[in-house]
Amino acid sequence: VDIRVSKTVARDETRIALHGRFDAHEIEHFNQVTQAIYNHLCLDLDGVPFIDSSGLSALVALYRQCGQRGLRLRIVRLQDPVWLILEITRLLPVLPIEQDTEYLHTQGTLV
Amino acid sequence: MNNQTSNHHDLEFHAAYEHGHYRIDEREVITRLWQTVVAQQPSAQALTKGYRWRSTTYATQRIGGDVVLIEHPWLLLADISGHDLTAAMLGCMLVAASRLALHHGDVVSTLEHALHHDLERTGRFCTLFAARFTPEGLLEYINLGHPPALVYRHQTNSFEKLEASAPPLGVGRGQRQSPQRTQLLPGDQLIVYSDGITEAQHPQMHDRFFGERGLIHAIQGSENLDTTLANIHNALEPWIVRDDVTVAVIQRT
Repeated sequence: VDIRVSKTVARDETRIALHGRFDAHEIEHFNQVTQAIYNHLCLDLDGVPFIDSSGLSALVALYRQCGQRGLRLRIVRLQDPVWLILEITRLLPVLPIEQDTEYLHTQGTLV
Repeated sequence: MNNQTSNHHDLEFHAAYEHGHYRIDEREVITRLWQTVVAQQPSAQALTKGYRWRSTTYATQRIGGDVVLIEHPWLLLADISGHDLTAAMLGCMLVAASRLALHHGDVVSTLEHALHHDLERTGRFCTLFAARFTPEGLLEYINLGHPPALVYRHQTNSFEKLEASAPPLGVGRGQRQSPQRTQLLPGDQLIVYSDGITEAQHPQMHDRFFGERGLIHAIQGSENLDTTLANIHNALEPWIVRDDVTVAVIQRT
């Protein structure tokens, strides 16, 4: 997975955009990137077509860590297969998934 | 001076060797422990009278996160996230805790009490499907974040999905619901599996997955659990499997 980090100033948060399969092989890299950020986080999954249980547990762990550090986490722009896996595992209500209206506005694709 | 340098290098070498040596041994010990405690569950263990069962596991590495356990009248299939040493050690803990939980019958609260904090602290979770069978065909089940188990009714060639009612163990403690129920008629099969099957990738089109649809297609027409397992195995063969694969089939006779 290709992890891109960019900072969105408006909401005082760091946006992390993931691209590619998010599975067991990518967790170490993902954890290194996220643990080095001491800011509110926005995790953009628009480029992730697939996530396995290791990826899901990394999201749960990140959410927990953010809470412990007093940071806000938003997970945005899920592709349908990722949404489906979260639904099957009953993790949708557990994770902070939001519709990223601000991003959609700036992209001009809000309908 | 030369002797001192030589001794210094010798010490460094021995320290490094021993460090590496012990690391290798520790990994080997944990691997063997996992293979004994988790992977080599007795295959002839009896389930409730009036049922046959078989399971098959394929680990993508020497250790894995899938656990199958029979503790009459229960069957449990669980999947701990990851397939590394941490998953293997948690798998051993899960087997021990599950035996107690299934023996006492209060499965979810016992497992949560035993494992929730350790799963949380290690950044893992555990999906789980546990089912209890009565001789009269009543199936009582708990599904925590696990892929839907399938009841295949051969007489009508139809499927019933036994979906999760709560998130996996290690996430959202205390959100559990009561066990759910369905009825198995003679000849009906229950197919419980880990996500390694549904997540198998098409060899050419990498955005295509075997999925629940592939599994249902493979099972349709299977008269008994042996043909069901063989059909799943054959259907899956050309696909790329990246995660541990476990299937358990239970048939009411």
